[in-house]
Amino acid sequence: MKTLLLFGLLIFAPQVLIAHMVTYKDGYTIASMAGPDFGLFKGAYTFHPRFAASFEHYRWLDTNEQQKQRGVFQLNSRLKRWNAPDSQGNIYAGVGYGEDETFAYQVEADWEDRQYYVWGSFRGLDSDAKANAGELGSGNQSIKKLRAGLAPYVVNADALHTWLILEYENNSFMSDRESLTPFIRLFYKNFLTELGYGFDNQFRFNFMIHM
Amino acid sequence: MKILIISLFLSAASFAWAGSGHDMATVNVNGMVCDMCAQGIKKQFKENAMTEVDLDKKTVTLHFKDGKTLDDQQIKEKLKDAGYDVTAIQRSKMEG
Repeated sequence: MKTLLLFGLLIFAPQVLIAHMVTYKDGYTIASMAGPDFGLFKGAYTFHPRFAASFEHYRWLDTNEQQKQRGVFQLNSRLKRWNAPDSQGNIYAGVGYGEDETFAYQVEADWEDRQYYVWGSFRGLDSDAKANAGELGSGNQSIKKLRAGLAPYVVNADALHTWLILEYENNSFMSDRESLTPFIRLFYKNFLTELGYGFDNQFRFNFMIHM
Repeated sequence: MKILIISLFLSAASFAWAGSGHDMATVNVNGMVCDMCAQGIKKQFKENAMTEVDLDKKTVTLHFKDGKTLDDQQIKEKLKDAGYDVTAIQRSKMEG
């Protein structure tokens, strides 16, 4: 079953993340975001309540339709969390280093209660220092995402949670492509999945497991 | 005869459980908004207690295993490790 699951994750060969960058101490996260021409796969371990180490694998098609990829190791920190009786807000940041002297950096913020959710993320890869930086296009690439979500019903723990989410993305890996995608998110206990169909007529699939 | 033996065994077991009872703590927690939060919290306490998370009441109820109780500070630290803030802890004993 595990093999089948991992195979499925690789087939959908992932896009950027829906998972919090830091979860809970000793928590593991496997997450992916998959689209037809850009994907990100992430494996993370939260070794401290405020810090997590992750491996992130990017893949994308360049302007010549050539498959490109980068793997980076990243250190992530939850800089601030606000816990209120009915809501939670977070600010995260991460820096990483990987293949071909690529620097990775990321900032992320979110706020959610049990019915509403907003989230923003900026993620960049910088390989200017490397002679073959041209492989990454301009050498600096980024993905900006904004999301707003609404839960059509509110349920207690250990029930199926459903969210309707609208996502805006600007992706410089894909020549600053902008996209707007409605998603349906379903999550039950440790498993979360999102299926979206964008106004650019592309399917997107996201998946996350916490352990 | 088998049924009689099984019945006696179950009766004895239930009397033993009823006699023992177990310690409980009901913890009011800020920041619990989703099922992922609940799963993270359950993981923090899995060695010490059976854990119930109620997102409506904003409470975590700990049913401590035999000899595995935690003091208030330990409970607060474990919930802090999971990313949440404790606002109150009430102790009680559940009679079997």
